[in-house]
Amino acid sequence: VLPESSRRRYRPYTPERGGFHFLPLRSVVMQQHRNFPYFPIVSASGRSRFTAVTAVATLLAGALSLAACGSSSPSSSLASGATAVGTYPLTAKAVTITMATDLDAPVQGTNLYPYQDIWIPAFEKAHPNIHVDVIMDQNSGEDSALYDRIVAAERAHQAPPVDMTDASILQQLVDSNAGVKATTSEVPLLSEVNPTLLQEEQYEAVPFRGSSVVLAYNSQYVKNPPASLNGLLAWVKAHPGKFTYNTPSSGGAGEGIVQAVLNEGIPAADQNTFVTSYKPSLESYWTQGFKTLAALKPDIYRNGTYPDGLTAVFQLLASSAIWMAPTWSDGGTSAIDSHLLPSTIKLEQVSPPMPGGPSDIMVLKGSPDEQASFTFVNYMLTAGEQELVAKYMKGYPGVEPKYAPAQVKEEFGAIENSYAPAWDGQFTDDLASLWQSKVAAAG
Amino acid sequence: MAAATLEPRPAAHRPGRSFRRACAQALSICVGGVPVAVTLVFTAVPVVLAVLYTLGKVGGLNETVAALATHQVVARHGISFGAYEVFFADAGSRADLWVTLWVTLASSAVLVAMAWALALFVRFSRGRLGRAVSTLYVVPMFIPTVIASYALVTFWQQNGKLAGFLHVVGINNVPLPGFTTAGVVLGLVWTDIPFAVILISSGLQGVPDVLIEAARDAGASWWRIVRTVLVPLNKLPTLIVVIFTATDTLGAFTIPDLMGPNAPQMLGVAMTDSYQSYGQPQQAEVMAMLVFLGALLLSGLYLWASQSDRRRSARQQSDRRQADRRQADLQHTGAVGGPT
Repeated sequence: VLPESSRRRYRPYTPERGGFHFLPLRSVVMQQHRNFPYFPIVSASGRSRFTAVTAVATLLAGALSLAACGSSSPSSSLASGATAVGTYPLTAKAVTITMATDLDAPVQGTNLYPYQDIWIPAFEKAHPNIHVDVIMDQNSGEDSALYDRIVAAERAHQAPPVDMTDASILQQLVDSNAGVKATTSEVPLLSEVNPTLLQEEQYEAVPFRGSSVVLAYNSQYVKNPPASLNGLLAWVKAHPGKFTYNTPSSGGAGEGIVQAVLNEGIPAADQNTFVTSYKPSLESYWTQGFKTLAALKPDIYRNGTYPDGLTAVFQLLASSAIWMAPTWSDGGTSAIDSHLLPSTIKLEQVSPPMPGGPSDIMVLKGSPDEQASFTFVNYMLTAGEQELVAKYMKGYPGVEPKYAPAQVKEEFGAIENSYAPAWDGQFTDDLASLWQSKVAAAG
Repeated sequence: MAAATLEPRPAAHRPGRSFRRACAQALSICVGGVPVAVTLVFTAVPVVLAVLYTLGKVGGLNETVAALATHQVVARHGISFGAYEVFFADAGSRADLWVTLWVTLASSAVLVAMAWALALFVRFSRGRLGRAVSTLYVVPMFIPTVIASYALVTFWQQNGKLAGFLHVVGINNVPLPGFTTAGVVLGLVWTDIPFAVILISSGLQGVPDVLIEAARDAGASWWRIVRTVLVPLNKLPTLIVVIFTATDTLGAFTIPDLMGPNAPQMLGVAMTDSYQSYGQPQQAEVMAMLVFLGALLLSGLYLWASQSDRRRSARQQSDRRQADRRQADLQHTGAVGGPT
């Protein structure tokens, strides 16, 4: 529900997990549950279904935002810089391209959906002949159904079901070479993107925003926050019950701190292997880290209660039940902005840092409107869109910091500069599974 | 014979009508076939696929799920029970299975006890309180499970309202059910109460006052009436309550996920995690099979119970009919004093 990144290596941060496709009834329950307490009613086409509730909510929100400040409309901040950039000519025929995303919740504190209500309107203003339709994947079951359909279309030599995607299956899609390799001729602004990030994706996906796991602490109680990971562990032992993290299976923030601790036990030579490939035999290096985490359990909130999802962590932080917890940089910043977290909550990174990473968009092979799709990808890297990414999603810029708009640089400053690379998705899946048996189930 | 020719020909010989009848028959097959087809396509086929996948078959329609999975057992030839062995070899998984069975048993027992107490109260109380209770017990039915679970768990968690109240009256450090397995049992009972009480109390209302008064006249205590009259006459509704809620509890997700501890998890939560977070769909489907097996046993029990009940009531009816007939015969022969 917070504007968190659906990032390829991490499970998208959602307060609860999504549906379970063997039991249709349960997935209905969970979709409600997942969006609690906002209940955005979204049809399969990704458009808000017009109901009495949404109508009233829209009117109220509209009235409130108008009353609050006249210039909160997302496209207005862009009005000055809206010019066509990209290779799809403005004179070419009108096309409709489709984007599958798992950003299925409105921006924190608003009822604006990031693609439908913020980024795409700005894009369509600059490129009136390209219309972008959005399909929202509500849970990972829908993501894997999308993967099925993409693979099936590829085997049948047909056009893929969508033109672009940023969903959590991106890693698998890169592994099976389902994306079109981007070059600066299709995406001119690719030159401003960190080439290492592009190489990791074999140029098949373009990062357009980023975030990292950082430490949130209540400055009212914590005057000298720990600067190092070991300092953090010592702080937790010294302040029993005042720290916790969400279960790694319920979101990337908990996963991030677990990764940082496990990483301490891995020889420097092997650390990069965890980022670039999947070798289950290397998981023997995790033994020490899991021991450290299990030993920390008695000093965790309520002798070892790990909340299910980041929202539950925020509730504990907000009520001062805990004083410190790992969070996503974007989720934490928006929670502070929307007063879900009090202003005494500060964010900082420890050393060695917790992981982070970009969210990327992939243009799928066989898309009939490849050029228009790349034009959209390129547009997401423009200064105007990057400003919107920072303003609404609290995301780090997708372009290298030196190219980012000045106010964006100012907003993130210190925390943006360092984060560890995220591990391969299969390693983090195993991490979540092993954490459950070695830490959660430990006496 | 002339009369015979005037009689309408049997309908089947008229071509127009027989065609219409055939159409009607086809239509009814179509209408009846829709749910069957839906069940086949959306339930039977996935179930068969899942069974095959847990036995190590990763080809065909299981190809994509297998492509996204890690740590799966693949049977090159024939079938393999390796995935089940992996499940039972892991202490955590065994604990999950055990806690699922335990919660199912405990919540069914508590539910039946509470539902009987409420139903008896509603049956026997005549005052305003009885009416109030009979309205209140249906309330959980109208509160979505998700909201109820959040509300309950925030109410009784360690720093929740309940703890605050207890603190004010001077009670501290009592174990509270927030994020414990006991809390899951309470939550499940809370949500199932309306269904259970409605079923049992409608059974109790069906017991005629005459029977109860007769027993009372014979000097039976209230408890003895419950034990020897009401309980035997309400075996079936009670069994239905147990079977339906236990089936639901075996695969429960929302309540154990929101109100339960980090470990051990009930199978519904563990299979969702395995499937979505650990990238191990095969283990998730193994757990689903175990839940499925439990549900199958319970539904067998349900069929047996309803069959035996139907047989019993049929026997009773025929007994009664025989008795009536005998009575009528006797009256007819004048052996018993009929109306004079």
